[in-house]
Amino acid sequence: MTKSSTASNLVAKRREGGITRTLNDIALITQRNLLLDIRNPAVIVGATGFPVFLMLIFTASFARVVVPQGSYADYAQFLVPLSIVQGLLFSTTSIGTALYNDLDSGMDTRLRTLPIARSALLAGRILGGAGRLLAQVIIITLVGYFIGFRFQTGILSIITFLLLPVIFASAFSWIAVFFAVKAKAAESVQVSMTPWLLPLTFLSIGLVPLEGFPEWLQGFVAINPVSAAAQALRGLAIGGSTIRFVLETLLWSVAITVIFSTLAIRAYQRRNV
Amino acid sequence: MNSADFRSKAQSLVKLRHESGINRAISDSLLIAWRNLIRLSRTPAVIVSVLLFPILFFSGFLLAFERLMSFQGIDYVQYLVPIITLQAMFFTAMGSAVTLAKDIKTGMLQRCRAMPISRAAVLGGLILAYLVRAIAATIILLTFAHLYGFRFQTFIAVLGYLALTLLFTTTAVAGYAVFALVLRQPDLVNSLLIVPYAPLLLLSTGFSPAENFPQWLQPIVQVQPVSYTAAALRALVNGTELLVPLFWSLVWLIGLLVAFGLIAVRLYQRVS
Repeated sequence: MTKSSTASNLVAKRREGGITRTLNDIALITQRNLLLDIRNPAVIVGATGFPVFLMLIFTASFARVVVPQGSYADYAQFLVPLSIVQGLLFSTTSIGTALYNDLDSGMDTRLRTLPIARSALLAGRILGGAGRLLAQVIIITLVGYFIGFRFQTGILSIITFLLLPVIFASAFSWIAVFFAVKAKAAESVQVSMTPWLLPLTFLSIGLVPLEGFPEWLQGFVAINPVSAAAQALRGLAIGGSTIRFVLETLLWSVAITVIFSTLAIRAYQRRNV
Repeated sequence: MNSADFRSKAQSLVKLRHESGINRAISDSLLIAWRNLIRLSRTPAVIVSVLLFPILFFSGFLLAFERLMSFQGIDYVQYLVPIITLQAMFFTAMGSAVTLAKDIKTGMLQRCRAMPISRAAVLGGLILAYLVRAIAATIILLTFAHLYGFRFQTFIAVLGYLALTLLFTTTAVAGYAVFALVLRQPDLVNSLLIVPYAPLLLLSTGFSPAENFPQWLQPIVQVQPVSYTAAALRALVNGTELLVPLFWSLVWLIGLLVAFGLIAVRLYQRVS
């Protein structure tokens, strides 16, 4: 047997496709990403500390502005949903940046030479990111408890409350991943995300009620997906008719995921190594 | 030549080096400032954040809170611009910390140490370059706010406003330089940038008056440097009682600047 036929035999034996193979590879990359997060506490501090901090400070400084007759706890009940959504959406930027670092550092080149599923790098990043996001939701909610946020609903609502923002933000992670694949510098992801994430989270019913905004803006505030997500989370915490907002949030999530995962995967395949 | 000759030759060369003197410090600082400015101008991401972020934060806070603040009798356009200015200055200073951390990592700082340049030049050059960026950011923000209806009472107040803003920036850059010199790793610097920024900026009377804070927090909120500086800037804008906030602002800023400056130069000398 010649050397070249051994090599072609080996190549023929490689199995990069198939659903089981793909899922295994994605799980492996996810595990690697989660391990990296766990071993890098500074990243976790940066990612979770900031939204928690913003929540505490916004409660302290704006409670009497938004609910003049109420207490700080009343505003905390109002604000925690937005703090979660906002914190998670801004975290997607760091998920994108982490992917960019993998593309830039040669990790991606290495993976492309290995017999693993081609979607593993991107999907593993999104799933690993989802793990990070879930940890953040739990931490923000716990801190919210200290300043007066309370669940008045059942266990099913609480579980939905914890998972819905992760699904919603994971959709936005695909946008960050798309920008990361297109990026030429590590800062680009942040610069492509922050300018529209800021208005999206500020101009929602999360910080102040709809009536607080000028009339010309209320139309935008009402259809803003962040408003839907905040409304859904509020309902899941205190009860009332929430189904509509939960569905609206899920619909947004699915739409964004479908569009941007397609774009991201196409851009990734066309990317020059 | 034997080794003794080499030594005396080296010593005579070292004697020729002029590393001190005020003129030397100024010209070296200008040189390093110019280098930093060239780097800034070649980073499009930084330019976007200089132009856009203050405007986005200004619009966001204004649109969300203007109406509710008016129920408390506050003209929020006039109230908000000073703290957004200081926020932009914080962003400027954070940028300087990242730049400095990169210089430490790449060995640029060691190189500067090995060269016959003033010891204050690296810090001075950093501050000068970021003051240029600060002036650009402030002018853009004030112009934008003008379109929203923001107005100064007198023209002379504009100059005072700029002067105090720049003093604030100088102190902030010096503070963040100490931060970068202590932490050193660019990743670590980057992820901890918000640790000094968030409490100082947001736990201030800049966004919301002290009466809105919980009772126990009010004393802290009122006496910290950002609150006094924002109050002084607001007084300049509206032509109200200036003396007390300006005095405390100057005490804070100058005191901190001297402390940070001394610590930063000391830390720089220990870079190895």
